[in-house]
Amino acid sequence: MAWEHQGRTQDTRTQQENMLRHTFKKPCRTVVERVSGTTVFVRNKRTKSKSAMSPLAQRVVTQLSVISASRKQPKLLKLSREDLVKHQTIETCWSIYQQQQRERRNTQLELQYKSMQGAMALLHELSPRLFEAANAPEKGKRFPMEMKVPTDFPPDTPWHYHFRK
Amino acid sequence: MKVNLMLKRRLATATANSTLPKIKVGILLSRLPIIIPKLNELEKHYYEYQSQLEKRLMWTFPAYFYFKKGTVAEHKFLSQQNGPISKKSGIWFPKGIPDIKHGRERSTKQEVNLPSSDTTTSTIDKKEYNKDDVNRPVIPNDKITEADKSNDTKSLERQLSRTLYLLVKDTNGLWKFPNFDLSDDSKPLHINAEDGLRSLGGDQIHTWSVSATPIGVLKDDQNSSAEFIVKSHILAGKFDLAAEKNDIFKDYAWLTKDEINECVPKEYFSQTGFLLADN
Repeated sequence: MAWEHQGRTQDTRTQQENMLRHTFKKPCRTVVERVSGTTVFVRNKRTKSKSAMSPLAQRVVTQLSVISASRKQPKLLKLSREDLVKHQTIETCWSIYQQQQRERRNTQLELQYKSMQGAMALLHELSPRLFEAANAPEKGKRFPMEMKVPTDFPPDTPWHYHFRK
Repeated sequence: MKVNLMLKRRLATATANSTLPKIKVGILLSRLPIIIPKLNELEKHYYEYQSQLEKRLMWTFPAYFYFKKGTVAEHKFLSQQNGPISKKSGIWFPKGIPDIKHGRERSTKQEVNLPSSDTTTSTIDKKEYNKDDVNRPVIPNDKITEADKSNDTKSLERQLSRTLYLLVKDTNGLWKFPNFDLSDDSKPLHINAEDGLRSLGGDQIHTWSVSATPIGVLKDDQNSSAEFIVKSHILAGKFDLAAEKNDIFKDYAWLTKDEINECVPKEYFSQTGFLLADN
């Protein structure tokens, strides 16, 4: 009698497990355990991955797919005739603007250089000693630490008025 | 070569000693820009156009690499994205049949929305937040300072995106760059200039001379003096002219190139204007 009873419970249990497996197939494997007469469902960490690859191989594949262009490239730009003309106009405008800027800077640099040269020539005439001092090599001269690169927004104190040596 | 030159000079100076102009030293003291200047209209539009082109031609963002599958972070990210319109049979798509790969419409740029924090911080005053609070929002400072509003030309906090130059006003009411008589002939020009600046404007100033070489020379009409200009940057501290003690210069100002053009004589600007930075 006791044997029979046990056998029947065994049957019902496998049946239950099968049913549960069908219902909880997707998200994770459900384990049905029997603890002191009551049935408990335990959801463990998913151990079986969908792909047949090992996790290491899967990781390599993912990393390779990140750096490869396949399936990630957009469609080529197909410009109509009008769009092409627009694009060329914009680029021409920009190159003209750059050229103007470059020319302005170059003329300014040239003027500055000439002015420096003239000043040194005059200094040479007036005081050879000062000329030598002004022409001395400044090896090892560095930009000071206090000099800052311009930023997008000003700092809390734009200027430090109190300076102590 | 050097000996030759020296010899020649010595002879030349011996003959023309009577008409030699007096050497003076001037200083072009500048405050460098603190913030990046605003882009002009053309630059703004061009950069916008280029950035749109670049976004259109960019590869699809591999979100699967950055967010692990099934995590909260992934869910948060994906819930922010506006997915593309997917292809369906029997439907007419006015902008062409969707071509989706990796959740991106290939014929347009991909818009990646980042899970952002609150964007209404700009109206909130910065002082409301404790400085020790690590989670306080980042609120940028105003680019227009108090000195800009009051047009205080003695302040160094004015016109943060421009280079400011120090000008002084002499007894005739003429604005010019600070200049001094050569006090010590044995020192180089730039050290003389720095000393002169300190004697004029006080010791509480930190400057850096760009070079010992003068950047230009200003000769006056009678050829009686030659003012050699040395370039220098102010890094900290302030120029504080004591007008009562000084009998040559009465006033000072920190001005941009445009303002200098307005207040100095035309001739003076034509001699010095190209030494000044445009921004």
